[in-house]
Amino acid sequence: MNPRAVAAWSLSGITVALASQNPAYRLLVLLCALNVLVALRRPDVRLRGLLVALGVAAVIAITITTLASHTGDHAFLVVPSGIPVLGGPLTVEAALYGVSTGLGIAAAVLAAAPLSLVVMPHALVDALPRAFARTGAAIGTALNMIPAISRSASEIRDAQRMRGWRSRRVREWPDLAVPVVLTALEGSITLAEAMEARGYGSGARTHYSDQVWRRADFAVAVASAVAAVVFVTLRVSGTIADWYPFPDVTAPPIDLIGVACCLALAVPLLVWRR
Amino acid sequence: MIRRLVRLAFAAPILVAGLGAASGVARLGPATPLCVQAATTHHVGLVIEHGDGAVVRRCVGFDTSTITALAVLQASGVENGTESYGALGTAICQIDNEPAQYTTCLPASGDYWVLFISHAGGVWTSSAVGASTAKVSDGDNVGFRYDPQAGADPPPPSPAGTCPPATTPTPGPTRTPTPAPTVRPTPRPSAPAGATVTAAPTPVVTPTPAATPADGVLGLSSPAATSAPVGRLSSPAPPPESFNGGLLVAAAAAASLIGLLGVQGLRRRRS
Repeated sequence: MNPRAVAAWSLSGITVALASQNPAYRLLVLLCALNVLVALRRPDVRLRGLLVALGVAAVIAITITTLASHTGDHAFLVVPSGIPVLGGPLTVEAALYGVSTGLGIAAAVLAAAPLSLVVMPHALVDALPRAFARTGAAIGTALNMIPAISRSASEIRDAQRMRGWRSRRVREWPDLAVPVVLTALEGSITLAEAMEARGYGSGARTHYSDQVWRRADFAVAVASAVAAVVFVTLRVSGTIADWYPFPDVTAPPIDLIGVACCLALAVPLLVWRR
Repeated sequence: MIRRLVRLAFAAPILVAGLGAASGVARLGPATPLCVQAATTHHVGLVIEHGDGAVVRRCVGFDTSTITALAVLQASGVENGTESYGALGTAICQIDNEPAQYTTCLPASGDYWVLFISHAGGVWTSSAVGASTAKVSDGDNVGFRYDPQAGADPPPPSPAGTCPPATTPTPGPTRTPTPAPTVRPTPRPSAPAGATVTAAPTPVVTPTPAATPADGVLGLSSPAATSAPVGRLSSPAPPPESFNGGLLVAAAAAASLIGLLGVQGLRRRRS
C-alpha cells in the first residue's frame, strides 16, 4: 500500500461525502470506508473508540438539528413556545436532516481515518513532498507528544497518589502539572539530541525503504481520482441532486453514476491485501 | 443546519409574501363573490386585509387532506397575480387589484403581501415558507395582509367566523353564511389586463343551494388540479422511474457492503 495512494483515496472519499447533502451517497461512502478500515487496518489498531466517537458526534448533530430547527410539515412534538430556541414544533424533517448531517460527518472522518489507521505514521511523513518534509516532521513529532504526555501524566499521578497526594482542590494541581511539564521538556530535549545524533538536517534525506507504486496502488489512486472528479462535475451540472427535506420529506434522488462513483471507493478492497 | 437556515432566510422574504407589481403571468379572472364552498368535505378561511384596512373574507372548500395557501387564494376567486420563481416557488404579486399596477413582481422596496397561517382557529402566525409551499388543512385559516416591508407585521383581523362552524356536515341550504364576506367601502380602480373588480361594494352573501353542483363554483371540487403546477421550495423530485432504479441499485450496493462487513467480522473472529 502506497501512502500516497491511500491519501488520494481519502481525499476523494471526503470530497464525495461532502460534495452533496444527499444521505444516499454519504451512506455508501461511509460503508466503503468502514469496509476498507476493517479489511486493511494495521493489526494493532482497534476501531471501537473511533466508532463510538463518531456515533456520539452523529447523535449530537441529530439532536441539535431536531431541537433548534422548527421547519417541516410533520411535527412529532410541540415544545411550548415560551422556551427560547427550543420552543416550537419538533419535526420529522429536521430530524432526518440531522441524520444526513451526521452521516456526512461520519463518512468524512472514516474516509480520513485510513491515513492514521492503515498507513504507518512514519510512512506518511516520508510520503510528503520534499518541500513539506520539515513541516511534516515537526507536526508528526508534535502529534506524537500528545499520547506521550498523557502517559507521563497518568504515571506521575499514580506516583503522587502513592505518596498520599489527593487531587481535591485546584490549588493542589501544580503538584501534578509541574512534573508533567518538566518531563515533557526533558523528553523533547532527548528527542532533539537523538535526531541530531542520527544526522537529522545535516544533508539530503535517505530512506530505509523506498515507496514504490505497484499496479494496485495505481488502480486505487486512479479510481478514486476519477470518482471524485466525475462526482463533483455531475454535482455542479445538477445531475447529482442535493437532498433537501423541507418542508415535506421526500426520498433522496439517486443517480446511477453517482452510486458508481461511491462504489469506486471500494476498489482498495479488491486490489489491496494486508 | 446553518446552510439550511441561510437558505430559509434568503427564501422567506421572497416567498412569505407576494409583493405587488406586474408580470401578469397568472392573473385569475374575477369570480362570483360567493362564499366559495362546493359540496366539499374540508374548508379553509381566507382573510385578506388591504393596505387601507378593508377586509375581504372567503371560505374555500376542497376535497384533499391538505391544500397550499396559494391554491386557497386561487380557488377563492379573488383576483390575484402571481409569478413563478421556478424551484423556489410562486410569489404573489397582486391580490384583489392591490397594487393596482406593478412592473416587477417583487420590488426591492415598498409594500408586499404578508402571508399568515392560523391552524385550527389559533392565533395568526407569520408563515415561515411561501404561499406555494405553506400547507393548510381543514379548519385552518389563511391570511394575507398588505404591509410595508419595514417595521413589524401585524396580523390581519381574527379569522373567526370566516367559515361556518364545522358542525354542519351536509352542505345544504341550512348553511349559515354568518360573516359578511366583503367589507369593501369603495370599488377598486379597474385593474390592468382585463382583471375586474372581484368584490362588490355591498356584501353579497348567497348561500349555495344544495342543488348547485360542485363544479358550479370555480371547479373547486378538484383543488388538486389547481395546486398541481404550483412550485415547491424543495428541489424538484426526479421522475419516479429513474428514481426507483437508482434507489434499488443504491440499496443493493449498501446491502452488499454491509454483508461484506459482516463476512470480514466473522472471518476475523474465527481466525
